[in-house]
Amino acid sequence: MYYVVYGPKNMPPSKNHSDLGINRFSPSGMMMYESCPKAFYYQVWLGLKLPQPQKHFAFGHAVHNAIGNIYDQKDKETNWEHAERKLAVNTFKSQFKIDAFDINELNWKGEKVYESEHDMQVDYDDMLLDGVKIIESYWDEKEALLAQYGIDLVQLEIPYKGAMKNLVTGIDFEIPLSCRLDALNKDESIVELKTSGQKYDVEEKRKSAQALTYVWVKYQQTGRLMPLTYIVMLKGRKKDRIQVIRYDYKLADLEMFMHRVQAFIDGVKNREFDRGVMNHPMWCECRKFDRELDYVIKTR
Amino acid sequence: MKKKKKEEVVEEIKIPDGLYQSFMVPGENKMVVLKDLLTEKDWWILKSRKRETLIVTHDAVKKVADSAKILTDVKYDFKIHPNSSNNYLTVVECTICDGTGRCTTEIGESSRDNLGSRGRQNPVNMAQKRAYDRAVFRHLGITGLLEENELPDEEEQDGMDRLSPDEAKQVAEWVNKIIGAKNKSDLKQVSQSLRTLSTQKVFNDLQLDVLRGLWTKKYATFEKSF
Repeated sequence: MYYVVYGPKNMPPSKNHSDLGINRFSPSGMMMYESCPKAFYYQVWLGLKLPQPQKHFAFGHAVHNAIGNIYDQKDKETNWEHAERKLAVNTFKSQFKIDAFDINELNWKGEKVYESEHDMQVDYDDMLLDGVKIIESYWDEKEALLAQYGIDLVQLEIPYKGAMKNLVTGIDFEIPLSCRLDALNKDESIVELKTSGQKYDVEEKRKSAQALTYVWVKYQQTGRLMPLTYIVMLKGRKKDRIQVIRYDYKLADLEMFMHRVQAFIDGVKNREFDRGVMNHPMWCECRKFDRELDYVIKTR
Repeated sequence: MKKKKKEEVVEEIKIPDGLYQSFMVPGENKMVVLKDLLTEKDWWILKSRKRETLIVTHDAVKKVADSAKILTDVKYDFKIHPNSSNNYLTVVECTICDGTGRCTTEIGESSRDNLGSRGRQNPVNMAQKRAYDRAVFRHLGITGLLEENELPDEEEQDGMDRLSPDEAKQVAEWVNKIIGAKNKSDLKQVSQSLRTLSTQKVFNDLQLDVLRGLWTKKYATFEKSF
């Protein structure tokens, strides 16, 4: 259904929460807004979709499932004594297919990534090999992860949808929260599984909206502040492929986060979608949309 | 046969009413009318839907100040300094005096909200210019003029940027259909639907214009006739 609006441009911001333009809060959306409001505007607020290569998503998904397989094989008493590495590797291989690649993929400059099908095949082979090495590295580290950090995943891909209470005011935010936790440990602490080209910045990641949202969700559910562990699987490395970061948040961290969430909601309500000025990366998604949506206006 | 040169048509420039304002030079019994002091390069007219505004350049303001014997020893007092937590708000108080000892104080402010892309890099300079220009106008009793730095240097808006966020949201589904079209056939289907929407007046003229523009651009990519 469409509503006809013949109002002037830049109409005054609506004070009605039903006109927020989004019907749920997601940490990834908020992170995008904080990084570049214009990218958020195109991708989340308007919901525009550019043809996007799925290879990185498919890669991450296949790695998640392979790690899930490692913990599926774990026995309560004998741990991994009877488990097989190749089963986990095969899970990855069976899920990461060349179908996720697109011969017409463009880079952030708008140039073609692949000149031929052969180039695309080479890229796929490289990623496949890298993925296998990541799974093998995780396999080798699993006991150490269990002993040192208590990593014993019992549940993967846990969706959450529900109201979100502002811990400062005690009142629910205008929109519900929708997110998906990567994994839960046996002790109910939160685990985030990531694949990345470079090591995570420990200080920077502590402020991540995603991490704080998950801790907030668990706090609402259990009344306890659960620790959050990032397991970062590093791509394209010969050694040190697994980085582990553990955060123990305090209530003050969540209270500060409430203000960030409110600022985000206010920004969206006021239609503040200007491009980021400080540290705006050249490869920001907003530039791809700009290229696609700009055209020369004809004089009539 | 020689071609006859076209007679050059010199369009007479209409002097806006604001430039008929005058001021008295202190210490001299002399009246200066702005139109006699300023050249065509010193001003322009900003036309909007509702009204026309006379804009003068910062250099023109300095020319007026010099002519009015305003002293070049200007006093600036920074009331608010810009930082990331105050949206780079800068407030400057400017005091100008003339040879007779009469002084005028005005403030100038700038922030991310009232600066365009160029001024964003130098909010202090912009606030300072605004304060000075306002002080000069106030000192001389000139009204109805805007100095160019008062204007946010609006970026040229093309394509979808011409729509407000709410207008854009209404057409987002159709934009997706256009940018996601894989061939001409897909686009032609979109075109037919758009025609129906156009007759039903579901979207306003600007929205339809943007959709048509995006459609034409996409069609051209299939034609490879850019």
